[in-house]
Parts: sequence; C-alpha cells; structure tokens
Amino acid sequence: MAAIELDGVTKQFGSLTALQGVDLTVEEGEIFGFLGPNGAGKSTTINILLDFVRATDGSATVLGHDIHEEPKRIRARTGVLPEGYDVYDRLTGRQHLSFVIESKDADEDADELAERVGIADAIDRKAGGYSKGMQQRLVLAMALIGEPDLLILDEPTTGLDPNGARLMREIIREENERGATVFFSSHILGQVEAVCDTVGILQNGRLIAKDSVAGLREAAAGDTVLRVTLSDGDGTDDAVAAIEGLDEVSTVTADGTTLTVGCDSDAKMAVLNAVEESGSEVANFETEEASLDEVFAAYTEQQEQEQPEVDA
Amino acid sequence: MLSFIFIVLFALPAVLGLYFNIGQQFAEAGASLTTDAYVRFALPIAAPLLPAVAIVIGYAAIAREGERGSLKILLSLPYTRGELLAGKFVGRSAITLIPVTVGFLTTLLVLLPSEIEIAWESFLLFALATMAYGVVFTAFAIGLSAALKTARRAMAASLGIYVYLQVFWSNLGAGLGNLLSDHANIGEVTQLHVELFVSLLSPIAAYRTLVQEILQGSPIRSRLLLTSNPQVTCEEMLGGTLEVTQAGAECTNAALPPQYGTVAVIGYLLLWLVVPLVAGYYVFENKDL
Repeated sequence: MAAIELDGVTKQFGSLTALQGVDLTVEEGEIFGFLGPNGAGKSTTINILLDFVRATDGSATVLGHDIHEEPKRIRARTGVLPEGYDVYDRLTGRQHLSFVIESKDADEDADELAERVGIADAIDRKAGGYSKGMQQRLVLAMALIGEPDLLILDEPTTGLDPNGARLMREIIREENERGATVFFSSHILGQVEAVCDTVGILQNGRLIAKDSVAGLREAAAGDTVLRVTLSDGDGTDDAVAAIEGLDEVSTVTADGTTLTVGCDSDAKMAVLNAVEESGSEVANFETEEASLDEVFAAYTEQQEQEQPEVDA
Repeated sequence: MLSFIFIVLFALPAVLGLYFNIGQQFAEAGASLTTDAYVRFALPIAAPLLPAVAIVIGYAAIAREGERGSLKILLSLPYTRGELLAGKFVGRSAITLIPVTVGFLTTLLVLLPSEIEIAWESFLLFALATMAYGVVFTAFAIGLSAALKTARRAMAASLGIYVYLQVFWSNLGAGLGNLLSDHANIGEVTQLHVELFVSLLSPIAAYRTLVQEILQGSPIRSRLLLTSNPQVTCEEMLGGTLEVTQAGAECTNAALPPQYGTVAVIGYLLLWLVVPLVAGYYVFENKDL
C-alpha cells in the first residue's frame, strides 16, 4: 500500500490554478523530497493531504484513508510540521508537548522529546518567547509524538541554523529507520539531495518529474549560467544568434546589453568567442552556479525532449 | 478581571439596595423588599451588557486561530473540525458562565445576612435564564467566528448584529406591522400578531420577557409589555379583559396562543444558539483554511 496517493488532484483558488492534475505516489518507508520553487504549489498539495484545503478535482488517500472522508484516522497516525503555523504564545513548550501526547494518546516523555530536538533548557518557558528556530524544533517534536507512520514536513528547515538543519536531517533518517515514511517539501536542492530516496519536482502546479536523487543530480549537473555584458547594445541580436548556434548552449536570453546563457560548464570560452566573432565587444562576464529555478528549467526541457509526460 | 466586572454588575445593585435602600422603589407597592427588586434592577443591566461580554469572549475563538496559524497545529492532531467547534463552544461558554456564576454567588452572599428576603424560585430562575442568555450569545459569536475569515470580521459582524438587535429590533416588529397595515390591508389584530411575533424573535426581547414572566408570574402580562397596544392585544387578540391595577395592566380570562407561550419563547432564544452553530459549522467544515 502506498503511503500517499494523489490522483488527478487539481486546486483552483478563484481564477488561479494552484495545482493541475497532480498524480503522485509515495511508497511506504520512503523518504520523499517534494521540491519546487516558491509558489509552485507544494504547500497547497500538503494542505490538501491534511484536509486543510479541499481539492477542486481529483482524489487522494493517505495511509489508505480518503483524505476528506477520514481525516481523523489519518491525523492519528501522521506527524505534521505545517507551514505558516503559529504556536500558542502563552503556553510553555512542555504544555504544547503534553497536549499533543494527550491528544494522540501517546506515552512519550516531554523532557526526552525536548532533549531530542535540542530545546530541553527552554521547555518550561513560554513558546511566545522562542526564536523561530526554537518554535520549529518544538513543532517538530510535536510531530514526532506517537511514533507516526507518516511524517509530513512542510519546509522543515525554515528558520533553522545549519546545526538545526543537520539535526532535522538526522531526525528524518532516524524516523525513517524506525519505519516511518517521510514526506517533506523544500525549495532548497541541497537539503533534498542529502536525505531523500526519491524526489518529486513541482512547478507551476504540475508535477514535472519524479526521480531518484541520482537521476536529478545528473540532470542538474550539466548547466552553468553565464552572464555576458556587451559594451554596447547594437550587436545584441547578432550575438544572440551566434550563441544560439553553439551545440553546448541550451538557453539564451537578452536584457539590454546583458545576455544570460545557460550552457555546459566547459563551453564558456566558446560562448565568449562566438560573441567576439559576431562583432560585439565583451565588457564583462561572470558565471553563476545554477540556481534551483535554472536547474528546474534545464530539467524540464530535458524531460520534455525525452518524455513529454511523466507518470509518477 | 471578568469576574470582577460581573461582581460589580450583579452584586453591586444588591449592595446598594441593602445599604441605601434604593431597592425599595423597585419593590411592588406595599410588598416587602425581596430579591425580586434586585432582579428588576439587574435585568436592564444584564440584558444589554451580557451579550457584549459573551461576544468579546467568543468572536476570536476560531477566526483568530485561523488567521495566526495555530489552527493548523490543532487540526494536525486527531480532531475533526466539528469537534474543534464543539470544544470551543464548551470552553468559551464556561468562560462566560464562570463570572456570571461568581456574580450571582456574591450577590447571594451579600443578601443572605441582610433583611432583604430571598425569593429563591425567582432568583434561581433568573440566574438560570441569564446563564442561558450568556451561552446563547457565546454560541452566536463562535458560529460567526467559525464562518468568517478573520477575527476582525467576526467581531464586526457579531457586534453589528447585536447593536441592530439592541437598538433597532424593537421598532422592527411595529414598523413591519404598520407597513403591512398600510399596504397589505391587514387588520389591527394581525398587525399586533406581526409586532409581537417579530419582537419575540430577538434573543434580547425573548430573554427580557422570560425574566419578566418570572417576576410577573404570568406569561400574558409579560408579553403585553412588548406590544404597542396592550388593550387591543388583550381583548381582540387574546380574548380577555384588560384591567389596569396598581401593579400594572392585567389581562384576565385570556388564552395565550402557543407561539407566544413560554416554551415557544425559550425556543426562539435557543434558535440563536443552534442556528449560528450549525451554520458556522457548515461553513467552517467546507472552507479552505
């Protein structure tokens, strides 16, 4: 049985389409990274899984239960770190933990949980005085209560320092080894790569890829972004045409005298030579590590060439 | 803090009555001073004030949690939205009831050793009606809190409706009656029916007339207080005889139609609890957080 199964899930907010026919299966025991730029629809997907938001079309099950018919049974077996939550300012960390332990009929010890997420010394302070990172750790601890079969974590490293992010990854691995399925979203490629078995990429409300981490890395590795500034704008069109003629180049866009070129990492000299040959003078150039958006762009194009539609 | 307000609200009249004998003017002529005088004094204070307090207690219950995001934490736990709404209703009602109860107990403590005689039945019925009244408005505010997107809107809507009920509703029945009489040619009796029935649909009027009923000992006398023409109401509508006594108008040999009876009026009051909760639940259950 799949831990999470989405079938043609579509969500419209008024005239805005947030999700468009998303099909997705997350197998039991997997660590699934849900990747996408801000606004791609990751949180909407998670909110639909948690029955916070109702899908316009399509259906979904979590742990075998229909998300709308049996949300309570899902919640009883799921630990959640939602996005855009707020803790209860006037309650202490211990009161938060105790409330969840009671609600889930669990028998964890609040002190041990606090220890595990690194807020042991703050457990009796009011959560309103916690930093964002501490609140994040507290809500993570709340999600771990009751040994859930599924952890749904929405941007779990938000507000965490590098140590916190590392702790988060350790806990994700530990929980997975215990047998839990972990579904977490992120817009940061590195975090997903570090712990995930499988990655799904969401863009503009569509699932554009579902792949292993190795497959993703391969797709991402190819591209480097080169920004070339010309000394004057007259020859821009010729320069663009010249660059487009190169095999190693995947994308070229011009903005005034600045050309943004996506190309293989060893094609820099070829690009610069092509510009010079077209008659323009290079005033400046810089290379950039591919941002996630650009990786997505590269990945999407490649996917479209190889297989127009992804059945995840 | 709330308890303090309610002690002042409910116990102060008793203290005043005790020490300054102001209560005497509320006592019926010739009768000895009882807690009924206190009820007469407290009713016009409780009737407008308690709804405002209950609304303040209830309006943010769900809408603010939704706005801030703590609702996501609650609903990540094994609770349905319906259970959450029910829990909020019970919890906030308790918050409304605790100070009301404390107020009444303080009043009793003040009155017990005094020479004011405690009319237990009317005092306890008044306390019960007042508690129900507080719970009704708490439910009303929570229903709106569940249905609306922000706490600000829930407060504006509940206070707006409350002010409308308080200020304009009493004229609505009479106005509607006049309108129908002018344009639809309805008779005077029908006009009074419209007036009385519409008036009773307001929870504030329903509460007041129920408390009047406790004091007057007669539903007919307390309903007559709501009409613009007690004589026609008594004689034409209820088929009785109006006698004006020292204690006020008395309508003898009359029969009150069931829609104006005690049970019906309690029902109208409770409608303000049930309808907002059910409607609020329906909207809350189907909305995106």
